[in-house]
Amino acid sequence: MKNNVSNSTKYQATPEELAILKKYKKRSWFNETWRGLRKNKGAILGLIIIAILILIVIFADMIYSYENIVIMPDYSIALQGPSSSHPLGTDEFGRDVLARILHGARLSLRIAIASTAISLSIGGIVGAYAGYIGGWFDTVLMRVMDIFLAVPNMLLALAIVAALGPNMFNLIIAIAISDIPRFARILRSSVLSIKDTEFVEASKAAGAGTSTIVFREVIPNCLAQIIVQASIVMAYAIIIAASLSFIGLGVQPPAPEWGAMLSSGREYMRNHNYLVLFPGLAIVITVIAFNMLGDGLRDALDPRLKK
Amino acid sequence: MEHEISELKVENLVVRYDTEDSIVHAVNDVSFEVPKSITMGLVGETGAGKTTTALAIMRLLPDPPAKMISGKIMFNGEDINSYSEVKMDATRGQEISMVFQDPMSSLNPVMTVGDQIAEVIMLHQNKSKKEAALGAEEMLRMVGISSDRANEYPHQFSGGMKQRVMIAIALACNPKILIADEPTTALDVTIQAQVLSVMKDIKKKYDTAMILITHDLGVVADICDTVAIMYAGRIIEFGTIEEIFDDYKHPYTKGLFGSLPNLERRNEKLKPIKGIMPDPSDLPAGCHFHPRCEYASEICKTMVPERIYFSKTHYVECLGYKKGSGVEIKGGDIK
Amino acid sequence: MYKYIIKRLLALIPVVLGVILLIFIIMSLTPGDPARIVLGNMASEEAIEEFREAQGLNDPLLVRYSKYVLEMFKGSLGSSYRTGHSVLSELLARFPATMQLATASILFALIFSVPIGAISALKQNSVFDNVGMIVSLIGIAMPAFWLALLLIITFSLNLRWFPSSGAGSWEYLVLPTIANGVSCFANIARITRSSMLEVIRQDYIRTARAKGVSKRDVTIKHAIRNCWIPIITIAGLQFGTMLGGTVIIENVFGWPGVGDFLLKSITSKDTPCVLGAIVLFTIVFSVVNLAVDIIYAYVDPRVKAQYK
Repeated sequence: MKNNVSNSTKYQATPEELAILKKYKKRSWFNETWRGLRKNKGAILGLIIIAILILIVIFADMIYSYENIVIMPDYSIALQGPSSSHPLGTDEFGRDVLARILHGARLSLRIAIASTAISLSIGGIVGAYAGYIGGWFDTVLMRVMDIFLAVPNMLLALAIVAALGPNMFNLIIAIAISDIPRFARILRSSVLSIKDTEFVEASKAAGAGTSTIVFREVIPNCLAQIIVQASIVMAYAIIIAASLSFIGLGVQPPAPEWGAMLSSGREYMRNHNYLVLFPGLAIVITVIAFNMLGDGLRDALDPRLKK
Repeated sequence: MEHEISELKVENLVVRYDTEDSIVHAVNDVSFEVPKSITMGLVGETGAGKTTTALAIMRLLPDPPAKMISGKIMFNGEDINSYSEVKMDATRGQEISMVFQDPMSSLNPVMTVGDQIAEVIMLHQNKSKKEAALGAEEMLRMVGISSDRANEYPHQFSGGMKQRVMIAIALACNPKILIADEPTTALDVTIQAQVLSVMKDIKKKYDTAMILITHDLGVVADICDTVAIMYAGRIIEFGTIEEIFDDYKHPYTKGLFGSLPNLERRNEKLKPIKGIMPDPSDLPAGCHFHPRCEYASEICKTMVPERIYFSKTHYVECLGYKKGSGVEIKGGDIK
Repeated sequence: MYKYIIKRLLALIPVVLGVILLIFIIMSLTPGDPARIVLGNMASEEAIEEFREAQGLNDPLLVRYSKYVLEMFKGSLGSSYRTGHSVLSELLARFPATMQLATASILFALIFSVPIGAISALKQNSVFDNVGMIVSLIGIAMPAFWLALLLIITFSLNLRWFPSSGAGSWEYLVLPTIANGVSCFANIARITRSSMLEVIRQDYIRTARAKGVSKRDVTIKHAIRNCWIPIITIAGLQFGTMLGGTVIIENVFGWPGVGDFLLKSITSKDTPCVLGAIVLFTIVFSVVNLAVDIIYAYVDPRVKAQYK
């Protein structure tokens, strides 16, 4: 069989070449990501832990009733070490530590997800528009972001919560606001990198307005980076929430936030160090899970881009 | 050609890459000799195994996943695989040097060009810092770069100049063997000519034995004395430059020459070799070239060709020249 | 090069002014009357009004802001609502302690993390690497204040090796430094490792080996020099995180620095002090970021060329 290099530009692919092409097309984006993720043991572990946490969040109330066990004091059994009836001991109010930690998971996850979702939406939209529209709009917005970023991260959240008053809602707002610049930056640089590409031009030629282009073309392209950053930001949000609650500027007692538990446990840590050990472990395990998932996602999503 | 004492003798080299997805048979029993002051061209398409061969000689194979399975690399009468790490470090840069393919990324961005040349001098010769710096300047002049530029950084040089710096580094200690891996591929034609001319001067001046890896037959014609044609990890034809250019034997070699545009026969269509290079992790059985060979017959699918000699220096690995194989290549007449 | 530094320093000014405005806006969101919050519920209406006048609280926000900025250029950061002392003098008195802790922490982190990260990269997937990476993961996930509590329990209360609070001789510095520095250490170790892994695969490393440079020297002389930029970047960011963290760490260890001061001021709603402290932290962080940029130029000649 001779190869016809005729005047037309169509390339006659041989059967072997077609077979190879088919093999690669089958792997969709999602499949590839999942395959990459599966290879990473750490990411899988992270995913499992998060799945467990989600189950805890859903079922915590059924295991330990909030009203009766988590916040109801019973001084007769106060400050008891770990035992069979109270696997992680009781605190200074006689409340079961394990119950409080499980309910604390709800608080932490709620704060993490809510604040990340808010900062992602607002930051992402601001950044995407800034990058796309450009000009003075972009410059002004980026200067404002620079101002936000000039303040060390936790101090900004601290100031906001201190001003608005310490409770969970304000904590979520504070953490969200302090993370907005990060997402704004990511979206903006993603937008800038594809702004002048052909398919955006094509959209414009077809008459699509700015908003349509931003939402349909631009944002889906940065999805990979957003997902990775989101998991990292959620991990960090949990630490900040715990830190601020620790100094009394976050979730207020008697809510069983892990940081707040550490704060009250501090007084008794000399003789009852389990009060300080377990809530902290809960934080560490949760944060590690999110971080490992984020790392795994990054590794799974990145090489795909290189291929 | 007189029988010269060989600087380098590679015997039955086999290199494999063991990755988690597959096993890649990069080099499959390669043997050749390079005598003093001879330039051997190592020709083949991308993926033929040329760079792997060069890295094996330098003992710079990325290990994992690459593994030299068997073979000897004889230099100065010894197999360099038997050298200790220290001795091998002393050999690289001083006895055997290599110039790599992509000059853009082959120089350390945070060191001056002069320092990078001086480094190789100081490593192998007992010179002081000052002497080495002077030596570096001299090397720069030799490759046609002003010695004033010794204190500049790689990013301040163009691609062609960077490649010349690489040559300067490789030759600073006057090695017996120079391996150049596609030294001109990343450069445009005019710069190519400059770099080649530098290499020719060096060849004349120092009698260095050279292995020039390339896929460009024009470069081969310009500077090489012998040619090894490589395909799927084997040398399928070897000869002097006259033998290969005037009297090639292997169907693949024919394909390589046939796909060259020819000014005198402008109206003829280009004849690219049909098919693609085989996947080195999944090589065809028998003769690796048989799926693309216009002369292939049944026996080529199962039998591995052995060397057939046409002269002391010219051999080919093709069943078409083996008497009684049943493969029809009208003897010596495949033009 | 100097022009660049001066330009950057001048550019700091609008940023600081912006931060002050931002904090002003945030503080103004406080529900309730600041005067009443400070003076308490028992105070009389006249006392409240007097306080408001004295502190200029009856002026609109932008006026208060402008007055504050003007005062700042004159060298004053106002006075504490609580004590009446000059905010600036309070800050200056406590600043050395915080800088001492922050510097010790980052040095502690850098000295251990860079070699460990580098070795992990060179011995990828070895036991050393895997253990190191697990320890780093834990280090990043640990809230600094929890680590602080654990350290106090182990080393102060049980083993009695180090004091648990206060400042004084070097022994007081050990536990706070470790608590503050571990998270930083973990982050830098990870970035060193990934940076080194990338650098080792670069072509110029292969060139160096082809020259005959030994494996050891390649790492020390060629590879590490190209790793610095991401390491320094992360170190700068981590310094900022640490500055923020001093608020809590100083509280746990009773370390008399600006962070502790800030926390006390927040609890007592002492706005000028809060403002002053946050501004100070911002300036320090910005100067550190500028220092990072300058170090870039020294480490990478390509960057230096851009700055000219």
